[in-house]
Amino acid sequence: MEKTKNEKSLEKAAHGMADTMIAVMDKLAGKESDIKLSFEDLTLDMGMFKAKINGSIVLDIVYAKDAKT
Amino acid sequence: MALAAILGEILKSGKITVSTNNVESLEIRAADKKIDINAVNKTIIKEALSASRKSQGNKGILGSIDVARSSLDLFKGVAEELSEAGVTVTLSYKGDRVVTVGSEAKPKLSRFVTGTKAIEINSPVKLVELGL
Repeated sequence: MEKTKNEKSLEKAAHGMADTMIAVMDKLAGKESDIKLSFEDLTLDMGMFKAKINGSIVLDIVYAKDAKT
Repeated sequence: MALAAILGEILKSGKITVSTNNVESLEIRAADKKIDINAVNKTIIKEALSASRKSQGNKGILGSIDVARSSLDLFKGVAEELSEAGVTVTLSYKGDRVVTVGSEAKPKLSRFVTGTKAIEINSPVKLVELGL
């Protein structure tokens, strides 16, 4: 099925965001870094699905070194 | 519809705080189709920007101009879609508003620079300070 113009621009935006996120994580990696996302009464409404989020997510960024052969 | 406009529709209210290494960097507040992104620490913004530029590769001076132009075009597109969706996104630095994007943007002179009425630069000095 062919993608619409909106779907293509959404896909492009999501790819750009993911590339930036990966590059930031890459920069933080190996420095015992973490990124913490804290949510406070975050109310989401996706039509059928509604949610209220409280709490936090911690992303510990650790890269394993490649084994030398 | 741009990802930012979809997020504006989905995020009804609340607050997200982003911290790196226990240092608070960003505060994102959402309410009534308005999203305020407040940079408490400019390091994360600068790192995200430099990382995003690096991910686009080193293309020399002419390539950099092309990248900057296409980034502005993309940003303009997102701003206009936010405006159509009735969503406003503001970027602040330490509580001072730097840029307003979307339906509540009321640009004066910055309209001639950005080429759209969906982007208002509130503080050019802070904008330069953030390296945007």
